[in-house]
Amino acid sequence: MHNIVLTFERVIGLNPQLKKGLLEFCVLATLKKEDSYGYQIIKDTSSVVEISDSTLYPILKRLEAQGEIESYRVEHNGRLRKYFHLTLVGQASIDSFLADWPAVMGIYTYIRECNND
Amino acid sequence: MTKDQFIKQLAAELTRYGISDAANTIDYYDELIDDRLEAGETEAEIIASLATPAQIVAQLATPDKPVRQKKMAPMLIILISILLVLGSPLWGTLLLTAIILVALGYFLIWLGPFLGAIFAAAGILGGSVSLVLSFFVGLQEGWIIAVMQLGISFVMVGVGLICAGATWYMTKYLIRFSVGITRWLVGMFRSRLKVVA
Repeated sequence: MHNIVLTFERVIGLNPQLKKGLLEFCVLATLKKEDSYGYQIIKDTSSVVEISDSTLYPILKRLEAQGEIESYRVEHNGRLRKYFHLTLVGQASIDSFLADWPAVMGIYTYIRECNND
Repeated sequence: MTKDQFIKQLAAELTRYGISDAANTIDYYDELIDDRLEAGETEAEIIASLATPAQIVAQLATPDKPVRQKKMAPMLIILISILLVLGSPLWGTLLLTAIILVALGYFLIWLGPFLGAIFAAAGILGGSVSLVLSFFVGLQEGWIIAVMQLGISFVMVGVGLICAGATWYMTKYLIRFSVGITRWLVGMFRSRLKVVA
């Protein structure tokens, strides 16, 4: 777990390809805490990863299309704000990611050891 | 760029590239800008920090959902090319007539301000010269004629000023009208080209 936290702390300067894969899980994890909306998701994740406005939208769109999140609208200051909610599919996706992580760490350890040799 | 301009440009780009859920995309950016405004950022700061509408649309055109492009069959392109060449005596003449008519239209609508400007220049310049010369007329021909010329000079300058004002307003509105009609004509021409392509 400590390794995961450390890895996330370095996500800002991460390889774009790797970062792209991790962003979806960051968004899902944020929605695990509570239902949220676009701007709030960007703010909540900003401590570990920088998600731009234009990057978040395709992620939300993709997650919704995959059934991992669902949306509903709430009236706010005379306008409708779109909130996102984590579904059971999304929860399963997070579980799967966390279950896969030890294997990823194994690969990481292997690469590091080979590099140190 | 203001929020409205940004949303309009985004809508135009989304329509142009046939992005399927344009309304959702617009809603997302509309909501996001409103949220950031509520958080205390200025409209200019927000718009400057966002990707351009073209970049947003390019990002949405992912490999699994590419930008919709209408491609014509090669045989159809050849057929249309042959028809265009064979029909050129007819459509060429019609196109030339249309161009001449449009040019004539522009000439006619701008004839008013042109004539107005001439009357204004003639009235003001002629009236002013006549005004100055009326003094010398008074010395040579007598003051009755000089007063008469002075009156005519004032009338000329007055008419010239009225013409100048009218020309100014006419020009202002005609510029808007000409720009509007030119955009409409160009838009119509482009949409026809898209249909052909």
